[in-house]
Amino acid sequence: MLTVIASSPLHSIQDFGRQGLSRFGLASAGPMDAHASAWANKLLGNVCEAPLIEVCNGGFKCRFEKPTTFSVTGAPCDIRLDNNPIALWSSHFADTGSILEIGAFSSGVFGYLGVSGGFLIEQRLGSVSHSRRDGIGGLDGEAGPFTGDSKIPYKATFTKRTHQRTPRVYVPDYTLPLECEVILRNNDNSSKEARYKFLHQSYVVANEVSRIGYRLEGASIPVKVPRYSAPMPLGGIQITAAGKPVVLMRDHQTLGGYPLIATVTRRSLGMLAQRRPGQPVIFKEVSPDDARAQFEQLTTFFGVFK
Amino acid sequence: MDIDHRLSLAEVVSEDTSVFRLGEPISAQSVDRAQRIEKRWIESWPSWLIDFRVGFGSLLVQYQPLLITHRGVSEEIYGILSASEDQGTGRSGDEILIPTCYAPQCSPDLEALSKSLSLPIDEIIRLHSSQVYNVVATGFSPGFAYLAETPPQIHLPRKAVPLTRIPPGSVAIAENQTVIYPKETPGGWHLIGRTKFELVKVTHKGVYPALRPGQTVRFAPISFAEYSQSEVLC
Repeated sequence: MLTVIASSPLHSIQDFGRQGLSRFGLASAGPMDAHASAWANKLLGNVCEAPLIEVCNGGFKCRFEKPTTFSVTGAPCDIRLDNNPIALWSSHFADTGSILEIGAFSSGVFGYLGVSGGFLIEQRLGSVSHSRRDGIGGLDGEAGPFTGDSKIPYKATFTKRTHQRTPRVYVPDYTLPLECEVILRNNDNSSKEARYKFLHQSYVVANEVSRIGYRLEGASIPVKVPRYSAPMPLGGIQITAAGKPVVLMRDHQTLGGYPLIATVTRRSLGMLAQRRPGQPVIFKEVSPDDARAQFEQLTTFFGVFK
Repeated sequence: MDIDHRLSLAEVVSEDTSVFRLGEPISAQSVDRAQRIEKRWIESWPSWLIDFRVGFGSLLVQYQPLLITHRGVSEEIYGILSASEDQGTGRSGDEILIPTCYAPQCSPDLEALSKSLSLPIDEIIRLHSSQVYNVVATGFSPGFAYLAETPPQIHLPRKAVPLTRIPPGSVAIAENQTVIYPKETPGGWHLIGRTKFELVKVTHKGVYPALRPGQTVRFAPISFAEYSQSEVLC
């Protein structure tokens, strides 16, 4: 068991989400950065969809109530175990009573804390993922925040004292300008001019970012808002009536009224989630076949990827 | 429609997601086709299927790309559709009556609408509540249902600037549709009434929306006193 000492309402429990109920309007939820969260589990030998804690913007502190192997990945920050700095993108071990502090992030938005075996939380409709939008999942099943003394259970599977570390080549730098890969729609109604403008301008992440969607700022794109809504995919990029892109993130609405111009690849979606307001983003077209090959590689590497 | 033509209307939208056209955005045929596919998949959930959702003649399917291709999914869908004839009705169940209060306290946009549509308020209420609507799509958020079609006299575009907070239970119109907001959310539709009708239950066991595609709905006007005294209805 782990006792929460300090937290924020933006910290949550996530697995790979609640699939199979979107026809009722339910958001899938799941990790904003699937790459970092899958690594946190992989370092521990967990299945890569095991429940972990998503820490948004740092400021998490907890006490381990039994000997524990744990890992931290994602946004760079000052992490301390019993006040000693420890490495990110690594597994570590903690003794009973050890205190872990995840400080403010120097870049990026989301960090992941995993424990060996994963957190043991009762599923709600097939997943433990916390969805604030729908009021479901998380520690209490109703998307309540962690409190000062929340206890998060897991099985002690602490065994041997070996550190695992993510190879440097797989550790992204979230301060870099993002080249965000997208699959363009093949029979959409947007004009050539709209597509050209979309692919040939530099955007910045706007202030309106949430687990539902990320808005981007840039020169306006001409679009016609259709009369009818349509089902929207994860990572879908809608162009609003004002001509600005909104990228649909893990808690997105299932149907949307603005036209869909393209979809962000699942690999790039996690990288976008880690960008802060004001950071630059350009969109780069990839073919559906290349995107699918990339996605299959991720699925094979992590065992599961969504 | 032959299968090759249908395939040409299908779109790969991401690594694991495709969108298929079932028919016109608002038609009994589209709803009927979606229901036949849903019935089949709910009875026996295919191993390759992650999730699916339907709206306005489009079917979005999320699948396991290691188990099936876009073309494979197309063939599954059109296999189901060609196995049985279109029923054509797309309707199911009894008409659902939604007690709705159109009093000024519950209808912040009615007065402005009366001016822009050049119709008396009573006439807008009469037109809205005399129609039998089909549930043409559900989604956006749990319990949200799109109902069509409103009488042509009350068609108008969405607001230019959406409201950030719409009270739960608000009955609203835009274009040729009417909706009810289950929760307090942002929205750009014109608010003409309120109801305490319970639109959705989310429990440990499942999501239970009151309105499902294919059902029919009518709004029954009630007074503000009746509205105030009413409990949550289902």
